[in-house]
Amino acid sequence: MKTQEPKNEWEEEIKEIAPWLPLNGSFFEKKEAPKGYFEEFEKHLKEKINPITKKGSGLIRLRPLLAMAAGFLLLISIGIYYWSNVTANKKDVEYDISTLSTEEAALWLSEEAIISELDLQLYVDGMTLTELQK
Amino acid sequence: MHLNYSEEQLCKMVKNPKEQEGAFKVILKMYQEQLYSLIRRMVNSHEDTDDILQNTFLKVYRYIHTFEHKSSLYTWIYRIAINETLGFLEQQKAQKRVQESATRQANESYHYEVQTHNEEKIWSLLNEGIETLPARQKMVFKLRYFEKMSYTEMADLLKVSEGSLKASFHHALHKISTFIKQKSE
Repeated sequence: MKTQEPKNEWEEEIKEIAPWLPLNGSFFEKKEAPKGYFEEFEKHLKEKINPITKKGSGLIRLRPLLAMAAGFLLLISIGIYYWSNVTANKKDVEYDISTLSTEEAALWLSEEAIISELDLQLYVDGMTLTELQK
Repeated sequence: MHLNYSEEQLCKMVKNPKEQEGAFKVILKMYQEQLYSLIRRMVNSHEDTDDILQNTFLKVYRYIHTFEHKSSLYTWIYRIAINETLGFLEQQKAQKRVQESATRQANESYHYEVQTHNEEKIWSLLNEGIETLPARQKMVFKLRYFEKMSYTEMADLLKVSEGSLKASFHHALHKISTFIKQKSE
């Protein structure tokens, strides 16, 4: 609760620094609201609070759905990321002629696949890139 | 609704999400009259008090879940009311400045006509003097003089050091006294 200084300290300060100031009178009385005001006040406040509550409860209700949607989107994007990585790797592997069998390579060459000269040389020499690097 | 809740009980209610709604109703019943009186003294008009009080309780309702018990619940609510009132006073002061030049002359002649040589005159002059103060100084003066609030509590409420509050109160008194002297001459 509100703590007030002992009355004397307040009085002494006012008397000391502004002796012309009144220390009592109607101005010090508690300001009263008109009769029936607080009933009306509570009613109006309730009207203002209801939209806030509704808005809040709507968001609260939607919160799990929003979280689920966000989680789902996250899973989908992670899936797409891994899938695209795997596909890219697969393409790399397919392109590496040294990993193909003789029949596959012959088939590929006959289909005029675009391959680098190095790959072709490696194939002719029967070597893989790893062997070349060694 | 019984209102015999201790500060501790209320704080417990405020912290429990299921009880926050009930806590707000108790707070409303417990503090509406005190806050009305405080705000009314600061702004002088019932209509303005009503607006500020509504905004105060709306903020209490909206942010009650953020109350962290760093100060007492009463101080927290009181601070919201004080800040709302200060905001209003500063806005009012800005609006007044625009209207002031047009109405000053008419007001002065009116005040001198209604003044009589009694206690009413002192209050009337005092009130006029208070109205000339900047918003924060006015707040400090009214809290100290009319509400008899201690500097310690004011410092906690307004987040200002006790020293600067004392200086502000003395400065306000000096301004009011100069104003009254000028008017009485």
